[in-house]
Amino acid sequence: MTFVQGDRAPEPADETLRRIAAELRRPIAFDATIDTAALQAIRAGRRSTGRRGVWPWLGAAAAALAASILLAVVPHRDPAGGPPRAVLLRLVAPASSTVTVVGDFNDWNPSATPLAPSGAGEWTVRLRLPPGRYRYTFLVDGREWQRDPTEPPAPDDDYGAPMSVITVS
Amino acid sequence: MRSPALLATALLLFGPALLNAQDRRLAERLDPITAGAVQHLVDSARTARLPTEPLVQKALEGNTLGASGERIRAAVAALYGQLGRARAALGGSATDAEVTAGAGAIRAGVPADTLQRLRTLRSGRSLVVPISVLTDLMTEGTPPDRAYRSVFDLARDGRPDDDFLALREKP
Repeated sequence: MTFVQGDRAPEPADETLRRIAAELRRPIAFDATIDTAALQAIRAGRRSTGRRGVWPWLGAAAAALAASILLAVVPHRDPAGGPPRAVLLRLVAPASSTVTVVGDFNDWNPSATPLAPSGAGEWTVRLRLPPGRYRYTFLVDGREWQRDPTEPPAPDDDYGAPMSVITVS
Repeated sequence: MRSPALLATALLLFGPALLNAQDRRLAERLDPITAGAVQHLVDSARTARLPTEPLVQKALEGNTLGASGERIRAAVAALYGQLGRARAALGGSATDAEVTAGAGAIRAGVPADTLQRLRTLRSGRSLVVPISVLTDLMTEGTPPDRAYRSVFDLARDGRPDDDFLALREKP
């Protein structure tokens, strides 16, 4: 038997067919808890779809920013790839009252690295420096620049003061 | 919902610029014109993947030694050029310390092709000490050919850094 939309089904002839037809005509009603659960799932799905729309952007942005930071910082952080080594600088200056050292390792700050008297007119300071090549000079009594006679002279004296250079391996 | 994404995009766009903000040390210790000029060179060096700290230190050195702004700018610019030549000679894989040492060598008169040859002879090992010793020998007046030969021989034989340093102690 073929039904065409708009056609009415024939009235059942017996009770059984009539009961089946009535059952089929009855509106389908699910349990109320199923409806609630489905709606909650749909709402949750909408929210999570919204979050998925934002988080990939934030994640990508964070990754890109982190990459930018790494590119900008990493090349300058560990120039030689080795651990710092102890370096002892010393200057014999028996008539001096203060000796400090300025160099590539302390931003050329005259007050950052004072030497201490160690006897017999010798002044010393112990530093920890990563492998590399450093230019430096001593400042004696706050007014006289004096290079380290125990290390090679620096090839450049752009500013006219005597310089030494130390190589940390 | 779009605000976080816009914020992230802004960070992406301006983050590197923030990182390139002026070095506080330069702003605090140099006059504004010199600080700006040095910062420009520092930014250029970063873009060219040259070490930047030597440029900052060169400027701070001038400040401590009482040099004029003009002299500081000239010294930093000269060092920038030497770092660039050293990078070109030593290659993109050279460390900042190697490039810095190479700049000192070029300043002392070591030809760029000598640095290249040293890189070839000592491939895969640090060049900081060999370059530094070569520079020291040149600065102390050792004839260039003799200095090159001594350092090349040790590099070719794969000798340790201490052997290079010992070259400076020989008469």
